[in-house]
Amino acid sequence: MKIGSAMKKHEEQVMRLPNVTGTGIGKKAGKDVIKVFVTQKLPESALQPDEIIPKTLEGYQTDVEEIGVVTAQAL
Amino acid sequence: MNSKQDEGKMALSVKARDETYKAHSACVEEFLEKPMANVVGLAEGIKWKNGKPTGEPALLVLVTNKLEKAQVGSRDLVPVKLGEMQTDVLAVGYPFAGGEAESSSGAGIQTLGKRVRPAQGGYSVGHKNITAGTIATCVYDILPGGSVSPPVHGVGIPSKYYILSNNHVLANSNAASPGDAVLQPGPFDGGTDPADRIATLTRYIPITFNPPTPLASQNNLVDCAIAEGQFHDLNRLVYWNGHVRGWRRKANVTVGMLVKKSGRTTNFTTGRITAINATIDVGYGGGNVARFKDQIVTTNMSAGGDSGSLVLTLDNVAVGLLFAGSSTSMIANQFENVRSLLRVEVAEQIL
Repeated sequence: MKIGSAMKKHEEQVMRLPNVTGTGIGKKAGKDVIKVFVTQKLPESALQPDEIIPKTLEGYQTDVEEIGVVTAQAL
Repeated sequence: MNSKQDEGKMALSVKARDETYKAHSACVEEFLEKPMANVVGLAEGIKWKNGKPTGEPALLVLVTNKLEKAQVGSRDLVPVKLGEMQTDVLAVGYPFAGGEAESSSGAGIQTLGKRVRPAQGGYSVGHKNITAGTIATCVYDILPGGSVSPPVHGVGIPSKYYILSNNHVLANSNAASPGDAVLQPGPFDGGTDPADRIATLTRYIPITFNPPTPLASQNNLVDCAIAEGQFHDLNRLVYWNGHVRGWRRKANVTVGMLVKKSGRTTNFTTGRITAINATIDVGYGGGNVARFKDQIVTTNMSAGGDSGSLVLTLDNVAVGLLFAGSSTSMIANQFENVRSLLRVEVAEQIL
């Protein structure tokens, strides 16, 4: 499965997790990864097991990035 | 130093969050009621000791700047505890609304917020009922023989010329009507109607918001609009970047690419693409959120007022239209989606 299809397959479910505000295709150490953007990064110990973002999706590594709160940028 | 451990200690656990929330709610009003020197707010967070996070919950007293104890009068000393919760002091400078003003240089508002004719990319613009955003550049309708799928440039004589920017800049987030006045500079920068009218709204791609539409049912791709002006008032150069040579198909916009933009608030900035094909929930104020798909994410290169800026490669190929951001990142629509949906040309080549 291509990385874009892998992301789309899981996107709706991932976007429902707490603090998750986005997904995307990025790179880490030269490899394509599925990025998951969160408003706030929390240690796994602070999360319920079903709130933890999976380490891989369809074999592709995930990369959780704290993006903060995204807003439209008029004044 | 064990940095991984430190990172864990910078976060507030869900349980601790409960405690700080209760402590904060119990004392915030009373605490902020009596003015104390330099204090601008009260927040929840982590206690730091000797420059290291402890992981312990604390109430954070936000101050414009931190002072030594000896410099502060006894009534202005921050108490060690508020209720049962320990405190910490965090210097935040002077907060401002909407991420506007007080850029470190302060030059943005002086330069790109002024009235200019012909107007060009990078300058302040806005619908008469908004604050201010940025002109991407100027565009025209796809010419005879041109198409969006496959993307082909037509040849011929444009009948109209437009300013390109965001829906939330030129069309007041779906609230405007075609024919409404667009001002340069935008109202926040002193633009008034009719004296500073440069164009009138022609068309926009509506944004689907939650409420009323659930995020999972939304398919927003772009936040874009065009407003028709007179040819002699519109210059398609982008301030500090010059002539846009062409535009890039989205399949060729890749992670790691360097990009640049000129905008009304943060002037000329550069960044690096960190993600593509991104799905992102964006706040529009007033509790309105819209989910956008197929977006470009870059490192931080924008702030409030830069909405509408054209995102270019370092060699002046249009790749995106800036519309949102956070403290760490900038979010842009794919330029190909903007072209296809508005059916406008920004330049005469696909590069």
